[in-house]
Amino acid sequence: MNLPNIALAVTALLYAAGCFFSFRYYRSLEDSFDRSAIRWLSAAFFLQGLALAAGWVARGYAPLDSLEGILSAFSFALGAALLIGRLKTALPVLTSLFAPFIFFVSCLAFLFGLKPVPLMDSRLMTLGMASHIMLTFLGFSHFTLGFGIGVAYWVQEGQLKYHRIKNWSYRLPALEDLDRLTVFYIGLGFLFWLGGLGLGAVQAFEVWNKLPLSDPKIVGSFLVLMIYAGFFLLRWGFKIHGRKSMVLVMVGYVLALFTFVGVRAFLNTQHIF
Amino acid sequence: MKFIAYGLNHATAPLSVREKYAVEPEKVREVLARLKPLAPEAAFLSTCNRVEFYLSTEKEEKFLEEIREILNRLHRLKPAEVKKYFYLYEGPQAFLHLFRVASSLDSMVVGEAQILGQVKEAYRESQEAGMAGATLNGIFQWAFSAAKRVRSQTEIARMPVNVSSVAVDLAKKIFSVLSEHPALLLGAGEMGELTAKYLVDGGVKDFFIANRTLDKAKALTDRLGGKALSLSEGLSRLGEVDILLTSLGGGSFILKRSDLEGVMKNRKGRSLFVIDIGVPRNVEPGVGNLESVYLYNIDDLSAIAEANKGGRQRAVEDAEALLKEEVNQLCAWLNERELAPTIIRLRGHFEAVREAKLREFLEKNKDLPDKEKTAVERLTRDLIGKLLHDPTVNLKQVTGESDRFDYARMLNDIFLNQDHSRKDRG
Repeated sequence: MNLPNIALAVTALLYAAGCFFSFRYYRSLEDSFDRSAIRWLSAAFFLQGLALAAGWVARGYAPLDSLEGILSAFSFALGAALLIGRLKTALPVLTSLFAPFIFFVSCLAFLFGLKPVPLMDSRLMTLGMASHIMLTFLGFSHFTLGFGIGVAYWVQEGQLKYHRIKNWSYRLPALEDLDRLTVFYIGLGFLFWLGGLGLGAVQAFEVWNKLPLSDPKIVGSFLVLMIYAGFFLLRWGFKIHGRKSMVLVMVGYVLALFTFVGVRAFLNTQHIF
Repeated sequence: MKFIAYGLNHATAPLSVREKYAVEPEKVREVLARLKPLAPEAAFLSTCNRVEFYLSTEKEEKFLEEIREILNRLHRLKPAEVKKYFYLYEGPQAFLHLFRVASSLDSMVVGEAQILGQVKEAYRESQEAGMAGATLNGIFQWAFSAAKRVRSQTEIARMPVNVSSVAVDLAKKIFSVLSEHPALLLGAGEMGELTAKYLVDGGVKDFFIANRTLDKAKALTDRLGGKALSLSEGLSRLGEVDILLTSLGGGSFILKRSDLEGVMKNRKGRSLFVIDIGVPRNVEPGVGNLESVYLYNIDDLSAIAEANKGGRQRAVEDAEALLKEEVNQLCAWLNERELAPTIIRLRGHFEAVREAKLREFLEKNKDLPDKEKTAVERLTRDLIGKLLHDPTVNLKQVTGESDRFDYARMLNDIFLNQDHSRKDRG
């Protein structure tokens, strides 16, 4: 194992510790466990940030041209989204639900770190392209958390509406909190995604002197933006809240997920991932 | 020293008796001051459901007499009356009782949070009166930590078991901060008042009470706060409130689906929590199918409360097991603390003998190489350590108070007063 692999392994272990404490919090609702979870998750987040930065310095380019780097950056972006959300509102139960997912992605980063991946066109190895990738990652991470909270809203709303109170899911936060946080994550994700798309367009134009508008990833990304724009229009223009607005969050996320990971598997694209 | 819990509570004495024994907060110091000569370490807990003394004393009988006298004097009661309702726990039983009280397992409403604060207050009073020494301090701190474990590791505090608290709990699952959401009570009946009180205690600030008879609504606002309205005024405010509590008498639905459909359109997606505790029901069931409306009637709330009771029973069993474990740990800690001086003296005695004998041996064998001297020194040290290890461990496991005393005395007689015995015989 080389140094980056060791860093990935340690990061995964730190995320595992964070998961352990957040699980204990979920069971006991004791604040001290949540504080420990946040400490471990933050440590993992900063170590992962350091490892990514060190990789960048060592290679002269952001380490985003390999599966290991991509997954590591994605779990880093998820960690960032989670910690940003915690700054906005302290809903520890949500940390308990998302920490295992971040741990899972960081484990994948470690496991796939040993596999060779196709190299990126060297003309695209620029700071602008690295920023494009990171911003779309951040956007997707925020959509992921927004989607997760949307699902939690759906579950909680169903319980309260139809009087099917289950102890495990009853621990979810109030509907009002879940609603606000979904809007926060989708809003922030929208801005990151939009910024990422803009930077990507600039990079593509610099290299090929045209915009690859027919690329399925780009088409999908625009559609995602339109769906989420529709979500905000419904909420703020037509005052439609609750389950109906959450349907759009879910549809938007399914499309974002397909754009992010499915397009390359089923369609032709110029993107290497 | 013996640790004792002595008192009465809602299970042993009816309200008429508890009322007589309740001691006002300003008289707690006076009671503690009177107990000081008999029990240097004592705490006194007086709430609406219990009057209890916790103390560490050697003069148990005198103490009990004194307590009865104090209470008789305070309340002008007959001694026989006092004895009848009181219970007495000693040692581990007393620890368990204190732990159960602090964890609210001994409360009238199991799982309520108020009692822990009251026990802490009793302990603070004892500290301020200079009556919380090392023993009482250790036991009370242990009780607070055990209560915290019970609250965090069991479901005891998370399951409301009465209809009103279930309603407040549900409101908190819909709205994150109740103070930001106005509420309206339709009707001024007893059940409505109780639930409204729970909502106010839960944080609701803006409160309207509407009733067919305005005077009754006004009387209720005098007790709970809020604004009194006529019934028609109240119904016209449905668009403004987020929590609607109905408790009106009468045979037909006061609120129909068609009435609320229009209201909901103007609420712009804001949720409405409708608690219908009227019998017969005040709200048409179809209202619950409207978007963003959460309707619960008395049966829905009772069903949740009943389900919670089952869950709470399991939680009580978990909590009892946890407290027994805590009591065992506390007993072990106290044993260790009480026997520590004897163990230290015993080890010191053996060490002194070892050192003397080693010195004697080294004097006689001055030519012994340093390496061998060190080996002999280590051998004697290991020998003493090994010989004393098992007795020390066994001593720490002695649980009975009288056993502890007997063991300590026996060790003292056999080892520590040996020279003295020889002199006596000589």
